[in-house]
Amino acid sequence: MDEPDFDQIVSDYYQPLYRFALSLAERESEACDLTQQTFFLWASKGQQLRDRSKIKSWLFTTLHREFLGSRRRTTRFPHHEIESVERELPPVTPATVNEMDAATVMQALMSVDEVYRAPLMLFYLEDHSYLEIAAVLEVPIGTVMSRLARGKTQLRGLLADSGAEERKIVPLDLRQAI
Amino acid sequence: MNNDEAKFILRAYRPGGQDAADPQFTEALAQARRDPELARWLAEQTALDTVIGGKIQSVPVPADLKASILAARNIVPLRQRSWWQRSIHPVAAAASLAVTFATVGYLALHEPPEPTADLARFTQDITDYLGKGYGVLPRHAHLATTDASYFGSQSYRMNYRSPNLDDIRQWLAANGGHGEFVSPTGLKKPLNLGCGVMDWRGRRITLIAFQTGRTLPQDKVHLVIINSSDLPDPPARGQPRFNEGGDWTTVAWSDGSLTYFLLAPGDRQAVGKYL
Repeated sequence: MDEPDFDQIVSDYYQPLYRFALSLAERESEACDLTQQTFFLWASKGQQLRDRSKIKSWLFTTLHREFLGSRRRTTRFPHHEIESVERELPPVTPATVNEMDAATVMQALMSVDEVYRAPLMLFYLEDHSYLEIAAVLEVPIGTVMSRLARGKTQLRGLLADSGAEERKIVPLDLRQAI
Repeated sequence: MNNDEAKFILRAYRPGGQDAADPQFTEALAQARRDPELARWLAEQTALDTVIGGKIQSVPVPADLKASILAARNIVPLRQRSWWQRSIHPVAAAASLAVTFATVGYLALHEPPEPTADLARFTQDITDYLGKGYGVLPRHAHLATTDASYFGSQSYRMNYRSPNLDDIRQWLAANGGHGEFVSPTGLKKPLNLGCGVMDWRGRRITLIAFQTGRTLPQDKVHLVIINSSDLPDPPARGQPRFNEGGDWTTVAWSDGSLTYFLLAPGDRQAVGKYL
């Protein structure tokens, strides 16, 4: 079987991996480092992966493990049972979010509790199903769904706050005209 | 399944429709088709997810990241077939062995003597290692642990990172490094820290990187520590030795049983502020 070319794997995945890393680490330099370290590990250990269709999951899982390792995490994330998290959500519409720039949306996402941030980011990096997210984060499916639901609720609130903040800022010339 | 349960499940439903055939969503989607209120909720949720996903996927990636990853490929151990896995022509193999023996014999007779591991050599090796970017590794310096054998565009790979100086000390103390080091006055409150334990010409040395600002690699200062007894000519106590060259300045000094070597971008004045 033809082996995927290293350059091709880098081209295919370095951008979503970087964005995932940025959402976790919150700092560009650390995100670059995590991304680079992930490809380093791929270069040195990736050949052990027999199922080549799992390269994407391998890369994201490895990056996540590297992040957790770097934080020397000792406390375990709470396991939330499936439950209703529906409540009154802050008013935020697609149009509101569409007016925001990517940095504002990313900033809101990075303000979500860390435990919800990783599944949310993988979800919004689109190619990841809840099953893949569960595999990458190494948590049960129910936990993924719970974290997605709670994380989206938090994100929605943060986006609503961001939208409200943006509306408070009035360009100087307009203010003078009022 | 009530609507709350359906919403809980559908929050994991991707807006692109990739999950439409997934049995996990079948019942919840069917319920949305029957219930107009749930259908409205799903449409709004999907639209919002589409917009958020689009924003997230447009977050810019550093322009040089891909080039850095590909450049690092040349110095990380990519998969290589073992010699017995390669098909080598017997004549070529014999010729190769002959050349190898001849080369080894020549080097045994003609290899220049090992340079003295003194402060000048230490300065030169560490400056080569840290100051010239990735891929430049002095012949006699190698990282003590395999996990650290990594060089990136912004830095080599640290063994351990933490924003907390005490964490760094503890890690170094537990891993054969110089955990008892005295941090220079101007480096007491870095944004982040990384450290590694290395081997330099058979001497154990400690490398600490201080991130002092947001602009990398300019805002990175390196401190390398070695036992003064491992150098024949350590700097005299209280008499730091500066060495300006290129874009970097180094300064070496001794304190107690340790010799410190600090390397930072800029001139003598810029580096002096850290002491």
